[in-house]
This record gives sequence, C-alpha cells and structure tokens, in this order.
Amino acid sequence: MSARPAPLPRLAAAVADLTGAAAFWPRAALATLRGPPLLDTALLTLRLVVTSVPVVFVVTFFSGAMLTVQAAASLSPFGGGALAGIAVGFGGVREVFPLLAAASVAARSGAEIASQLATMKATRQTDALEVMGLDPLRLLVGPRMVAAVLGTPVCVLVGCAAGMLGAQAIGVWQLGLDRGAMWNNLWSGVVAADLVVGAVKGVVLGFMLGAISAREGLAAGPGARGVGRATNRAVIRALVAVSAASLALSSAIYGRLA
Amino acid sequence: MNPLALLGRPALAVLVGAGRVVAFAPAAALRALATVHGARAAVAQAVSILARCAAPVMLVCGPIGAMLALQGLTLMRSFGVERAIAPLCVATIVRELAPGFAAVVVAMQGGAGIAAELGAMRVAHELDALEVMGVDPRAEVAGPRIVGAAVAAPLLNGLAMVCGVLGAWVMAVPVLGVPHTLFVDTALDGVSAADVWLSGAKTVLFGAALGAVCASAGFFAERTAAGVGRAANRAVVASVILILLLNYLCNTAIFGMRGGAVAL
Repeated sequence: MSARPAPLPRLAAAVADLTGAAAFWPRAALATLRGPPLLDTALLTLRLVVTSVPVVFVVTFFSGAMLTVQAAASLSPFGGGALAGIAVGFGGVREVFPLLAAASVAARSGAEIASQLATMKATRQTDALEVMGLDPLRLLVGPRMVAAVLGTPVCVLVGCAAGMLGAQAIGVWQLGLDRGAMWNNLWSGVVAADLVVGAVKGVVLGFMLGAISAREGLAAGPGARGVGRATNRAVIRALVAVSAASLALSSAIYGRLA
Repeated sequence: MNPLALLGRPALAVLVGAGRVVAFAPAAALRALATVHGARAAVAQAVSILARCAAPVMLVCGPIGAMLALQGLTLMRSFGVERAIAPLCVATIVRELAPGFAAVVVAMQGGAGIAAELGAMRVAHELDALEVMGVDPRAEVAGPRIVGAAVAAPLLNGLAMVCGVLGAWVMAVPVLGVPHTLFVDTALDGVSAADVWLSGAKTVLFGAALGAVCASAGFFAERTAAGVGRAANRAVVASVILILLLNYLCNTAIFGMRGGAVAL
C-alpha cells in the first residue's frame, strides 16, 4: 500500500474533489439542454431501462418479501398479517422500493455510465473528440443524462410493482394469508399521489445518479486502475446522494402532511 | 438472432459466474487463513474496508432511520399507536435496515473497490507475476480481501445501527415532537440481545458472500481497462442482488416458514 499523505492535504483534496463534483451538475444539466444526439439518446434510454429493470425487479421483489416476513413477525402481537400488509404497502411504496430501485439503477447503469466514460477517457477518445472540435459533454454526457432522467422513474414504478408482488407472493404462499385480503391490505395505505411522488423522486434521483456517474467517469485517472476506481466511486457516491435526497424529498413532501 | 440463445446466454453467464465464485472463493479464503501472514493481511484488509466504508455507512443509514421514523409515525398516528414508535424503529433498524443497508454500502464501496483493484492487478499482469514467483495470488491477494469483508461487515452493521437509531431520534423527537423520555425509555422494548447477535451473524454471511463475488469478478476480469470497469459493475450488481436474496432467506430461517402469521 502506498504511503498516505498527511491529513490536512487529504482534507483539502477531498474538498476540492467535492467542489469539482458540485460544479459539474449545472454543466451536466446544460449538456442535456443543448440538444444531445437523438439516436444515441433513444438507444441509451432503451438500454438503461432494459438492463436496469431486471435488477430492479429482483432487488425490490425480495425486499418486499423480506419486509413482509419481518413485519408479520414484529407485528404479530398487534394482529400480524393484516397490519403487515398495510405497513409493507405503505412504507414500501413511499420509501423503501423507490430508494432501492434508484440504488439498483445506480449500481447497474450508473456504474456502467462511469465505466464507459472512464474507458473513453483512459483510451483518450474524449481527447480525440475535443481535438476534432466536438464537445464530449454534449455528445457523451447529454444522452446519458437524458437516459437516466427518463429511465429512473420507469424503474421506480417497476420497483413499486415488483415489491408489492414480492410481498403478495410471500404473504400468500409462505405465510398462508388470504389472497384477496392481502392484496387489499397492501394497497390500502397507498394513494395515486404516492405513485406520482415516486415518479417525481425517480426524476430527481435519476438526474443525480446520472450526473454523479458521468462526472466520476470523466474525472477518471489513467489506465485500468483509474477506470476501476471511477466505477467504484460513482456507485458509492450515487448511493449516498440518492439516500440523502430521498429523505429530503420525503420530508419536504410528506413531512408537511404529517 | 435466435430468441432462445438470447434467453440462454445470460442464464449461462450467471451459472458460469456462480460456478467460478464457488470454486474460487472458499478455497482462497481458507488458504489465506491457514497462514499467520495471510491472517494478518486479512486484518489489514478489514481495517482498510472499515476506514473506507465508515463515512458512507453513516451518511446512508442516518437518513434511512429518519425516513423510517417519519413514515412510521405517519402510519401509526392514523391507528393511534404512536407511543410504540421508538420500539418499532429500533427493532426494524436492528433487525433489517442496518444489516441490509450496511451490506449494500460495503458492496458498493468495499466490494467494488476489491473488484476494481484485483481487475487492475490482472490487467497490469501483477497476478501473473506473483504466480511466476511461486506465490499463490488466490491466497495472497484474493483470500485476505474476502475474509476482510466478512470481518468488517458486522462492525459496520453496529455503526449502521447506532446511526440509524440516531437518525430516527432526530426525526422523531426534535422534528415531530415525540417526548424524549418516552423515546429513550421504550427504545429497547422491541429488541433482545438475540436480535443483535442474529443481525451481526447475518452481516458476516453478507460480507463473506459479497467479498467472494467481488474478488472473483476482479480476479477473472478481462485484461482491458473496459474489462475492469465491467468487472466492478457486475460485481456490485451481483452482490446487491445476493444480499437481498440472502436477507430474505435468513429472515425465513429465523422466523420460520410461517413467520408471525401464526398469531392470526
């Protein structure tokens, strides 16, 4: 392991890095507005949805299943199954499924954006674009940002549906609850506005994870090591940002109603 | 293109990957633990994972605890049982959210780091160089990282519990006006020592699983820069899915097939 620099320069480097990351966001937003190439945008959006949806589906399905088993056990003194359905449906659609769906998109597609852009940086493809007078932000970042902003809400809604299906499947097949009652309980705490909130969250979280991934990709160090590190950083930073933003949005939207 | 091949190729890829992990990881971890040198390297890896994951764990689990308190209180007020908010939050955090999200953070920060590092060593022919020198790269490089992840995950789980409960307190007491004494007095009503131990045991399993998946992904990465990125990406996705799947299986094993529904 290489020797670590003293704490103060490390702190300064971290602050500089974070400032650079924050300064990238408006540039990323502008890049999406300056007319990204249409075909690329469509294909990348399709790719993001097609590759992320299976991951989102599996992750939220099992989180719904896990929450149901857990909630049925914890709530058994208050009347078990019926309350478990209500709690999982309510908490799941409002918080858990959107957050996990966004985290899955960050892991699948955010990391892919970062590793692709980092590879292009490492093999000097971005430099080549600039030499030819083409803007890598408009050509490469723009389409990926649009893909993330359009694709993530779709993934969030798929995640909500998959989580409900997971809860229903486990409630009926494993816990032996009544099929119709379980489904009614699951949806009893959910209103249509919750799904709209989920989609809005998806747009915001999608923008954030797209911008973070693109920035880490373009800021990658040289070589294979740089590509690996950029991918790693994109994923963890996107997760931290997404969970913080998810809380901020929830307390802004639901905190007022409570 | 043949539609059957389109379906079969990912399935085959998953099977090949799983086979690689099973053939590679347990042997690597055991061989690393067999020597004092390897065990020391594992401790060093655990410390490095702890140092890299502590801040993200705090930043992720604090908001999640706060979110739980906010939505839990909204739901419980409608049933008039808001006095039970503290035990509910603490039990949910200790049993579910802390182990699950701590493991996801370890996968995204530590696990992706392991895959990226091993992949970069593969590209730079460092792993081949070790082999030429008669050193087994599995025991020397991969094994300690797998063991390190399994050791670091339960410790980070403890940190996640503390941060989650703190987050829940911040949302419940100063923001939503639950009395402080009520929260503190009832906080431990919902959990027992067994819950904490089981939660810790779950994270040892998650840590070992994600370490195994990520180390294999990096060890068998393609020898290009793009290959390393893909390896890190695949490692994270597979670990997250595996963690959620294992979490569900653990819950079913702990609470029994019929869970709490017996009480109906």
